[in-house]
Amino acid sequence: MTPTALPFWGEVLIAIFVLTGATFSFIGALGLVRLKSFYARIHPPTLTTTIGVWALGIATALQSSLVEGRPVLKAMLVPILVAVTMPVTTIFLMRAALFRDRIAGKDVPPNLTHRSVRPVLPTSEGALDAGHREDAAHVRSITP
Amino acid sequence: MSPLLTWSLRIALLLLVAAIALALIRVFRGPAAQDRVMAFDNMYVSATLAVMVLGLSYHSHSYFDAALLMALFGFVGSTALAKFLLRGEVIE
Repeated sequence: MTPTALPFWGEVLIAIFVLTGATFSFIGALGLVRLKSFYARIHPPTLTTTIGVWALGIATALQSSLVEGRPVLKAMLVPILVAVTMPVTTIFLMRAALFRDRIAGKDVPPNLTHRSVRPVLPTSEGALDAGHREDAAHVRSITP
Repeated sequence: MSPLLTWSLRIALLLLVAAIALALIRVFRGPAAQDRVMAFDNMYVSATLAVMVLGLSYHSHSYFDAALLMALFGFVGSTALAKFLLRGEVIE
């Protein structure tokens, strides 16, 4: 470890940010284990990807700024990257989970994008047929 | 570095390792594939944070670059897995 000349208030601020980020990240992982269904479990990782990542990014940027003596914001790249990419992954995962649960015949909301061609997949018949009928009725009701 | 910051960084590292372990439990226990992918996603974000804490405690910029790369490749991996779950193929 190299000795650095961080002021005490800077160390306190960095410690507060680091502990906040790590604590919220831990709480998020705890929720990931404890919650019951997938649709409840999709929420707690957002604690990690918002407060955890942002607090640690701010702490890193603060430390490098105080060491260099000028604003060094390179460390904010990680929070920005995560903020841009994480919604994409979450949306894909959510759509995949809904798709797979509909195929498996679980009790999930029906498909709201009414496509004229639905993929016909080898599955348990009931749920897919119900969704099919509902879609067909909706398409008939909106077609002049 | 004062003992306050040293111990804060140690505690933070401990919490993040615990978070990775909890996510690993979900990876092994998750009933469906999407649970496992989501827990894997959370695991790599926690690992990125742990690497950033290591960079804070060792005053090294290399750790930050490693964290950036982990965030980037973790996103590519989870998106590919989620896309595979959605359609059964990654690139259509």
